Amino acid sequence: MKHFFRFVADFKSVGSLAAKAALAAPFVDLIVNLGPPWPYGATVPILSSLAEVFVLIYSFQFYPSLPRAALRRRLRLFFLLLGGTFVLYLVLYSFLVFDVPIEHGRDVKGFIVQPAVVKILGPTYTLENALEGAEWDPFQIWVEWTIHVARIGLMLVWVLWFVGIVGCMAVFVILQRTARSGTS
Amino acid sequence: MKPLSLCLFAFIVAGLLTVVPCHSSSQVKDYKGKKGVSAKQDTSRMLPTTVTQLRQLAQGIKPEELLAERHSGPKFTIGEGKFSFYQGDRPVLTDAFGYGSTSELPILIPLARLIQVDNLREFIDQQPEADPEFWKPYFEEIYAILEQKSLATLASKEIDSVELFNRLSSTDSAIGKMLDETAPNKFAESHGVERVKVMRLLFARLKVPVAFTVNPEPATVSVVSETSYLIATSIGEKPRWRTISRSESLAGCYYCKVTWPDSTESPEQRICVDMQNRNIQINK
Repeated sequence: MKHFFRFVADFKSVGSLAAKAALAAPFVDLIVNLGPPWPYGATVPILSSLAEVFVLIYSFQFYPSLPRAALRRRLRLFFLLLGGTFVLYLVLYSFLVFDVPIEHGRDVKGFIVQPAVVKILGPTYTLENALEGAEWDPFQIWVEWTIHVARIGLMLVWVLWFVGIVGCMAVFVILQRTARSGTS
Repeated sequence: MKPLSLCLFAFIVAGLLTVVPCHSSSQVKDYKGKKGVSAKQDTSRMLPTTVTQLRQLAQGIKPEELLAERHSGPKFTIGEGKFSFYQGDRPVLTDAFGYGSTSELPILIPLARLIQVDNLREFIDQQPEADPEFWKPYFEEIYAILEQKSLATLASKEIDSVELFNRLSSTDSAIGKMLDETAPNKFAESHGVERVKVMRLLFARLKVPVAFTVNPEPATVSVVSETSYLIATSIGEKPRWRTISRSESLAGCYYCKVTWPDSTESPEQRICVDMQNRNIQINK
């Protein structure tokens, strides 16, 4: 764990500062509203940061002893995770999140519409209209379990994205340090 | 451990933390039809005249389950010269589409309020920094209002159903205002702290307060959500109208109608409410 604490306490290295920024990044969601709308409030940034801390701890505990080839492989995988989850999150967000025009609210849709609602939909009465007519309550429009799946999916992809970011950072720093200690 | 299993570990930790503390908004909706019926059966048995009797009635409809299904419970935080307070949502004793509405069973109005206030008092008693002694007179006053106004109005046989509903709603609004403004503002003043409003997104589904002006008064305003209205008409059923007070929190589009004491009804009118459209006027 000394690698982890040295890394966290280091205020000079760019990697360390970047990691601190990454740990704080989920809280930007509170201002810019980019994160998943569920769970409500500050839960999403807190969970995302917690996941990041665990990834950092895990990486600094177990990765420094790995050979450089294995570290490079992990870095590639974290990059893949970072890119993949970013694209996936944008796709899911675009399909599953709707805006509530009251105080800039947002909520998560489901993906199977309730049969009773399907009957009233048509070219002049869209899902958007139905949602507005149901007090913006997705549970009146979509089948309940699909909303839960959508909420959990969005949340997990969001957390994984930050896991990817901080994983890349941690492995990169370990690679740099092992390179430095190898040359000195 | 491979990176994938590392991610799995992060998933599990995040999952555990996510699942445990969260109450989804669906829980209020899950309630529909489930306890509405039992509440109806239990509340029609007797007409309580004291808070103790009303509380006994409440015990029969499992208040702890109703409270657990709320979107938000009471909140109290204090520190660094600031404090925030939320009285907690009233438990839902009717369903989302207005089946078993408070106009059909007006006793549900004081019943829901008593369940909420009892829970809030219990919550305050468990918060030493909330100064439970400060809140005591307010709770006593609320119980007195419930007994001397709400239950007395319910017991009166000279009031028609429209007037009964209006009086109960107005008393209930007064209690709500006491818990939302009077008591917390006094607390802030007497304890030298600044009251900060809790973030609405944390504690409630987004709605806006809408004011209805009806000409002439007295009259009863009823609404039904547009989707519910269209579903009902598409299957040949009557929409389930929900009687509301003159000031109500709403969001989205509704159908609305007004009924006057001479049984005259206004045409069903589609209304959409948002931050701009918050005043609805309906004339005879």
